[in-house]
Amino acid sequence: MDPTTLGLLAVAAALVLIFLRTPIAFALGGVGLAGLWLFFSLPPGGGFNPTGHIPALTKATQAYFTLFHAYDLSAVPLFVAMGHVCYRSGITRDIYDAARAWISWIPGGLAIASVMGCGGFAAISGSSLACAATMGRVAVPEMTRSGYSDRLAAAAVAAGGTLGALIPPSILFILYGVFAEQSVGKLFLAGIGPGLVSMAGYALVIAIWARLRPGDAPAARRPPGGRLEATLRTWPALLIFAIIIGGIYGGIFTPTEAAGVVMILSIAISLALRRIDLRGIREAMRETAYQTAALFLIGGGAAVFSSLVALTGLTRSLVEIVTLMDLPQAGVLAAVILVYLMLGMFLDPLGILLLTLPFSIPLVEQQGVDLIWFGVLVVKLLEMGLITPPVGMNVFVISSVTQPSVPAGRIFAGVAPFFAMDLLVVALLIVAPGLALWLT
Amino acid sequence: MLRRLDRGLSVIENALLAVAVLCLAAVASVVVFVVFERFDLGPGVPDDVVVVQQTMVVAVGCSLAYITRERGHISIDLVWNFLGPRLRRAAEVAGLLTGLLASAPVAWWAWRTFVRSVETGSYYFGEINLPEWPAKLFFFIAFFTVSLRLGLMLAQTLAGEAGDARASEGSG
Repeated sequence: MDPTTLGLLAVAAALVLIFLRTPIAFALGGVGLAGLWLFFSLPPGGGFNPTGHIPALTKATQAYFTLFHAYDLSAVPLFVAMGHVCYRSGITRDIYDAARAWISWIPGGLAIASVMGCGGFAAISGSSLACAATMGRVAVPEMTRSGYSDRLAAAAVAAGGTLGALIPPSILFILYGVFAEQSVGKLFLAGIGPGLVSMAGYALVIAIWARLRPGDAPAARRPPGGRLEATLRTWPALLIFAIIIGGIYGGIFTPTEAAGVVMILSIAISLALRRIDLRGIREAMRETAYQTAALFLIGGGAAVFSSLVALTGLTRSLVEIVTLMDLPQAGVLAAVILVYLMLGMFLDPLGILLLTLPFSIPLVEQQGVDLIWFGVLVVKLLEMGLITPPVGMNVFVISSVTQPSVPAGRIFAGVAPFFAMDLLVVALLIVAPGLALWLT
Repeated sequence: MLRRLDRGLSVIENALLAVAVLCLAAVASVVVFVVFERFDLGPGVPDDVVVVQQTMVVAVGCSLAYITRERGHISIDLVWNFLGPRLRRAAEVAGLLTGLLASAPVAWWAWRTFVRSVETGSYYFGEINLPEWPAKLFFFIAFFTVSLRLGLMLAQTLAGEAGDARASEGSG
């Protein structure tokens, strides 16, 4: 069987299964394994190789085992556990409370505080959906109670939630780093600038919105309690963020070590402050094990699928086609951005990342693109997919956690200016790569 | 019969999840001990990288069947929402079969790899020469239990379909 045809059929089959709600892990792993068996059993010269299953199973089993065994990936459950502990102890909420204490009296201030709270949450949990779910429950009702339009309230939190994967620690950066063989520490540092610029951009959108439609974002009453007190309460979150970034930037820790230290530290702080009990820790660890298994099985499936893609030469063919087309670097990047935006409309960020990296990395590497910068660009594009219809996961999460529910259609409409700001940030990232690379 | 199997497998899955949680705590502890050692605050852990790698295999593997039972794998509902009940069931069966295709052959091969590692006595070269077989055993258990769970879910789905057909014949 022609390897390129086999590769194309495998991609098509995986996509069909994913759209039919087959778990992404099984779609990639199953199709990858079947494709490997076909590749080794039906070689291009013709005939049937009865022992084709041996190299196929060896490759697939090794792909899973190597991924489960990857030292760099052990940072994933440790960061996830830290996020769950901080969420249960309320540490992730403190930054929102502090921002709210300072700026809620400004028109649009509560929404800006929510976006800042999302940024702070992201700096702890590394998960966009967790951020959207939590802030959706906390910040949206408070904004609507203060007279904000539900469209702005929900849209601000949906957009703010996308900061989760850009501001370190970020699960997507760890996975990108492992699959693209890039430094996870450098990716974390590269995400800070674009993350902060995105956050400032969202604040600007809210300020303009409040100015154009004052009825949508009235000044709210200052919350009870002092500003200083609220600010001082953020010390655990700030300490955790400082240890992660300072430790990695100062060369004291690897990302895995930083993850281990902040996980233990978050438990110690939460216990010392009596903000969590042993039962809460146990639940946080169970949720971590659950989430880790989901992430690693997708990663393993993607590794099997990547082996097939590499063997069939599909990536090489794609690179050759692009070379023949003699596209400039800007043209290739534009095409890649378009593909990620399109896929983001339908698929989960993790699925897209692992499905596309075998193709996009060789393609942009051949164009001389910096892979740390590209990682930041890809993660930003993937996060934009969380707020675009029809499958904008952040939007659906917020719609489901708000009481009364804000219809998804209204949130999508509200998200449009934030999405436009995202496009502006992407353009800025392309024009000024230093925005991401200045710390690396 | 299916219900009894379900209950028995659930007990095993819950126990494996508890093992996974303990392993995650162990990974964090090892990493922190290594950092302590760097600042002369403790004795450290010999072969820490290998220990973390081996423990991670157990931590990840032991949660797989549990999450499969809970249908916690990430999936996309987009097209599925537009399907009728029969097509939905067909899509579900296709998904379960794909899952079995992804896990059962790997479980078989993982068993062979485990047996080979026991027979050859292979180990990771280092200070404590950690044997390879424990992680390989748990790797096999992970895929074996996932395959069992998926097989059971498939049987339950098909039994539900047969039950529905009998019910509609009875009412007709």
